[in-house]
Amino acid sequence: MLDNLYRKRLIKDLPVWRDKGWVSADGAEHILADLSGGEDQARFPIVLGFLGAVLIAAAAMTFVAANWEEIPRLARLGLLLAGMGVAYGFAVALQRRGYDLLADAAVTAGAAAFGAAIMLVGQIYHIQKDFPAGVALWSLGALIAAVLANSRGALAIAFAGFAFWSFLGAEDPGWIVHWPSLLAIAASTWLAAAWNWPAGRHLAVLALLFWLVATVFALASRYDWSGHATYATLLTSAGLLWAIAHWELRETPLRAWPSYLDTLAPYALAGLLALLLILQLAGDVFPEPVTADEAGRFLNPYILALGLLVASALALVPTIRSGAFTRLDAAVLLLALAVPLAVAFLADRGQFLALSTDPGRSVILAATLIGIAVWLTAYGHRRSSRIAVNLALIAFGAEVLYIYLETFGSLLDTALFFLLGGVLLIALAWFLNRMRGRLTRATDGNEVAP
Amino acid sequence: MIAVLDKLPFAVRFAVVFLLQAAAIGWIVFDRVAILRDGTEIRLQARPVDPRDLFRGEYVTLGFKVSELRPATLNSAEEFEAGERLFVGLQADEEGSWVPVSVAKSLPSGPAGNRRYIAGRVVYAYPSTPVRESDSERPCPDPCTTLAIEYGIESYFVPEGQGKALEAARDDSKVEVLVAVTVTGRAAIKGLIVDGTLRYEEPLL
Repeated sequence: MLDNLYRKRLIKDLPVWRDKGWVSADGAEHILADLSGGEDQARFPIVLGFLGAVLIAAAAMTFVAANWEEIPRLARLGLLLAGMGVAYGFAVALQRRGYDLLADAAVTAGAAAFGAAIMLVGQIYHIQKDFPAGVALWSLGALIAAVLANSRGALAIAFAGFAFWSFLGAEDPGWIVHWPSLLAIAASTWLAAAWNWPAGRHLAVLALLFWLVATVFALASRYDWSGHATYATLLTSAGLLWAIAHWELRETPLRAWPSYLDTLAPYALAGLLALLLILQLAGDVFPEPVTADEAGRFLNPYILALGLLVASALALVPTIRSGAFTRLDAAVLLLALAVPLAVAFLADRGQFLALSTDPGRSVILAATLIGIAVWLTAYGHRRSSRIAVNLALIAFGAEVLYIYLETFGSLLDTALFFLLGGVLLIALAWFLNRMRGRLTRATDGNEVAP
Repeated sequence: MIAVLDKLPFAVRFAVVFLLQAAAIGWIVFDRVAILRDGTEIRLQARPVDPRDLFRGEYVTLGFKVSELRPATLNSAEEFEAGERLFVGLQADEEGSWVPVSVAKSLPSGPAGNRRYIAGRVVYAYPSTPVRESDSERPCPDPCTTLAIEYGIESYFVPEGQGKALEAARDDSKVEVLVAVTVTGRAAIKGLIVDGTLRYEEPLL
């Protein structure tokens, strides 16, 4: 899709560049020919094929859920098994004719029918409601189909299924941390890496993050963590992951991993910003401060979060060496993790209360989020990362909206906060512009248009 | 490893996928049929509540009298923790309902007599109010540990539209579940009894 946009822009720009003499007429043609691989025209029927597979899958699921008595259940099971067979049969036929992607869609439908059949068996024999083993078996079947039939669609089902399994497994009292689902996601990730499949990288990263969040929530509910402690732990995890995502591994034996880290970076950053916002809401959702018990168990998540903060600091060292972060960048990031952590801790100790009664907590958290958003736009510009800039703007906008809706005690306070913030930002912009002007004059003596 | 697979013809690979998946489903069916066919029939009192499952449609959640147990009242001195497996001994009372008579971490060996064991898992353990000795119950000293237990027979799937009716039945009727238990304690639902009459009966297949 993005390639298409890029080509459209080039078609507009290339004649201009040719007229200016920057590219030769021959070169312009070569550039265009290189981009239009001819794949776009063939893509439409395949998209339709996949949408068809998704609809058939949905039909199979709702057919099972309807629990229709008119057809005996064994016949229903037979129907689904036959559906599986037909889908795989179609896949073979399509594969032979060279329609690889349509064959992939057929395998996807088959893997979905397999899941529907498992759910039907669970229904027939009244196997427990969540049926984690059923979800695990479905995902495993989809993974095997993905390996044997080279099906990306089946691998996508496996990722989604294993992520769901991690959620069900995390609730299982028999596990403190549900390792089997992590192993299964890792195996699927290995396959996606072997195929060098870009969308698979996103699925892998999302599934792993889902596992992490499910695990933290499971720990929180088992050991009675407060809302503040839970989100502070997730916030420091996101910070650690974002720092790790900037590691330079291209020269190391782990050469397949940099692309995974590149994929991880925006998700970790988005999580970090979202959690800063959620922490502010958490005070409203869980306004009661946690009373410190004798055993000091309420400290445990904070010790974990502190450990993650230290790990983030250590993880930032190689990024400073490689030049991904400056010392200032690293300091800002650590501050953006440490300040909310301290605020969350103090809130649980009863030092800060709910937003409506204690403006201190919300002013600090709001200032932290706005501060990191401003720093992030600068960072994004410097590293030409459009995603970082966009996320910063979204976070900034969301924060302003939240402050406006909540108000610090009164609308007058809110107005004062906005006014101060606005004046500070404009002053910063004026200062930066002056600095830049001076620097560029110093280097080449020419005035550059701002 | 993937390179090795590339040498297999496509038809063979797809056939392997199909056979593996079909066999997995056949295996669950076989396993369940074995419990239903060979297991002893017992009746457990239950309370149905109606929710809905994402994949499998309408079902009622069954809460049993044996879903909550106080080990001390059953003469057990063992300590149970969340996640642990346990075996609850059941015996039929005069009305034909099976009630708990023992609880242990391992399956008791020796002749079972008229007692049957059902395997469950502790969902959570919590202290509750102590019970003094009475005609019906043995004492449960402070802290009286109570266990919430799952047996894997807590969901009953019904055709669309019938869940609410079943839920309503719990207020003015006696709902019992006919369960098959094997000698190893595995359980599967065989049918639903409302006020003594078998309302739903599950065939083997």
